[in-house]
Amino acid sequence: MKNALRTYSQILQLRGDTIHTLLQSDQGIAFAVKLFLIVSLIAGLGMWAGLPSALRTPTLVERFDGVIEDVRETVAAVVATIESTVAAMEGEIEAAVDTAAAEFDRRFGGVIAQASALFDRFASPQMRLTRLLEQRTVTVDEIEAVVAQAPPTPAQMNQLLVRAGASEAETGRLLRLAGLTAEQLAAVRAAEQAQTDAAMAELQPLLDQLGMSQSEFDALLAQIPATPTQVSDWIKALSTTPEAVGSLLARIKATPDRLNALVAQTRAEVVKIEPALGERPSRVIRLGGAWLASPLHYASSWMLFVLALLVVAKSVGGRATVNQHLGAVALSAAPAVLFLFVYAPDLSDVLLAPSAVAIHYTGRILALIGVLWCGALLLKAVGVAHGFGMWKSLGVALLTWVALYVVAPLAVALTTGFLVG
Amino acid sequence: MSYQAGETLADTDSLSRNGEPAENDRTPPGVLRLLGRTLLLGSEPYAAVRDGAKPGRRGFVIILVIIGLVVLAQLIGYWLGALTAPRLDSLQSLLYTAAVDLPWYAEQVQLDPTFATQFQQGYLVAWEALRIVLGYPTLTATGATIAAVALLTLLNWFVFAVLAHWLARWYGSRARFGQTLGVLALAYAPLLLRVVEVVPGAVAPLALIFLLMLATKFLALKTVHGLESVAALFVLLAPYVIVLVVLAVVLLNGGAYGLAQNPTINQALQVQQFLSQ
Repeated sequence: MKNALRTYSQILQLRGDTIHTLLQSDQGIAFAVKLFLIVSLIAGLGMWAGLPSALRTPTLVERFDGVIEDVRETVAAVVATIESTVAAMEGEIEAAVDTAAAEFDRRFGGVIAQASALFDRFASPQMRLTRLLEQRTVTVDEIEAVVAQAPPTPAQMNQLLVRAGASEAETGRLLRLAGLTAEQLAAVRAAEQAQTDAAMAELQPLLDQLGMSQSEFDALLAQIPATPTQVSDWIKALSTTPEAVGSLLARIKATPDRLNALVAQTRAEVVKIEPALGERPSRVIRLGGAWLASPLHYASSWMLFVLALLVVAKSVGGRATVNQHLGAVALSAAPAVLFLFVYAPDLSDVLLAPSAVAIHYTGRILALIGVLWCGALLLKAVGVAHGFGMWKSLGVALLTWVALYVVAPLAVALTTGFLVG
Repeated sequence: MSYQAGETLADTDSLSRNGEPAENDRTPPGVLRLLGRTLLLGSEPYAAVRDGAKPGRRGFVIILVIIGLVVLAQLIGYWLGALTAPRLDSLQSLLYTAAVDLPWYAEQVQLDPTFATQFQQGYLVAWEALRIVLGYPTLTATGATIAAVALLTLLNWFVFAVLAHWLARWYGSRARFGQTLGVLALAYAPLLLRVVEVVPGAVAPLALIFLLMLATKFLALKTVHGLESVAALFVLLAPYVIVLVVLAVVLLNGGAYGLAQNPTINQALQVQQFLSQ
């Protein structure tokens, strides 16, 4: 081990005698190959800088959960925003209406009051009754002032009494004024109740579909506000049935549950996609595989140049055998440990940006030194192997570059032209 | 030993040097040892096989060992790869069921009764292709690799040996065909680099294997036939050129024959010829 380290040190010093001694024997060439493997594996250790990222990067299931959570949060935020906007708009509209009404009342209130007084003075009792029936809220006094002069029908009387919220005593007094009997009023109320019951019977399938009780439905109608008969009429106006409307509303009501079921089902499928060993352990194993193959990829990127260099060196009088030439090139990779950080992936997701940038450029600077050192060692080792001086080695390397990247493409183009033309 | 600039190593070529363990031992080295030494760019394994008894048979054993190790590595690599790759089977069947449930599928099946089979085959092929593109192990790809490694290596070894031996004899070599076969089997040692693929995520570049095999074949031919470097290079490259030329001629003429059998294309070509006259 100590000898190996000393030899390695001497190679880094570009010592021609050490290189010469190594290339003289098969053991020396084997040492060169082993040195290349070890050095490139050490350089490839930079890949392991990607380990924190591999462990930290969310798995597919985690990403799926994250997306679903994001969607839920987004939907909740959108709903809250819409509700808030609607509430604000309602408030603003109400405020605007109040302001406009106040302004209208301020400007035209007097005129309207005078016009109303004039209307009351000159309008017929029947006209005053009609106007009273059109009002949404009426008082017992207003009813009393009208019904004595223009007796309403029992139905109209019932409508006015309901709107005024008249007590039993007030009801009796007003009935007497209008010349109506309590029986007539009771008959009208019974007829209206019958109509409501019929409407409710028609709407019952709708309530059944929604799973809604009578009291809940009444509370809903009070909010709208509407009567069962009106709701029944709206449904008829839409040319549909309470069953169809109920089915549609039930589907809409069930949509969140169905979506939740779908999400759960999809998540189960995503879990099934995960590797048997788990996503993170698999990433680490695959990282290990890529690291193990890094010497092969390093060698692959240079092999064509190395063989072309051999042919060129031999053609200008080089004397090294194939083994010695390959051994010399393998030795030239000795400073490749400086490529350590070049193999490291982008660390910006595990380090602070300044640290990641600093490591990146440190790696580039070390790699530049490594390239220059490897280049010098290549010239020296190839020179020793083939019996060249440094300048001749440089010439051979340049000639190889020209042969590979200028002559060969030209030759291919000319050959293709000859064959096609 | 001191080194002077410009001193050459040619005189101490390791091919002709004594003192290597393999040459000192009278017992022939084992196949694995020979392959290991070959991968470490040793030259004595070639000489050991060349000078050993029954080199042709030894070469056959060597090539079988190489194929066996690579196939074993591929099988283990497939198993480990399957453990570490996403399992797409469930998704595949889920999407297939969804596609089959589409009204479009029912319409296509009604239009063409063979559509269901064609769709299923195309669907399976597409998923296999997707897995290969994503680098996930598949039974098809692993099977094809194993078959290719086994058959093509044997075929390549024998055909190359025949052509190279014939060319080397033309150059005046006296080596026996068995020696060429045996030594060239060692030249396939770089295939063992694929053993690294036993670990998921590791891929041995084919270009490196091919180029290394060129180098080892050159060494093998030089050792067994004792040729000069230029002659050895010619004997190395000529078989590739011969095979390429033969393939080109076969493809061109086969393609032309196939086109000539199609009357429409044939008539179109005749019309074109007539018009060009």
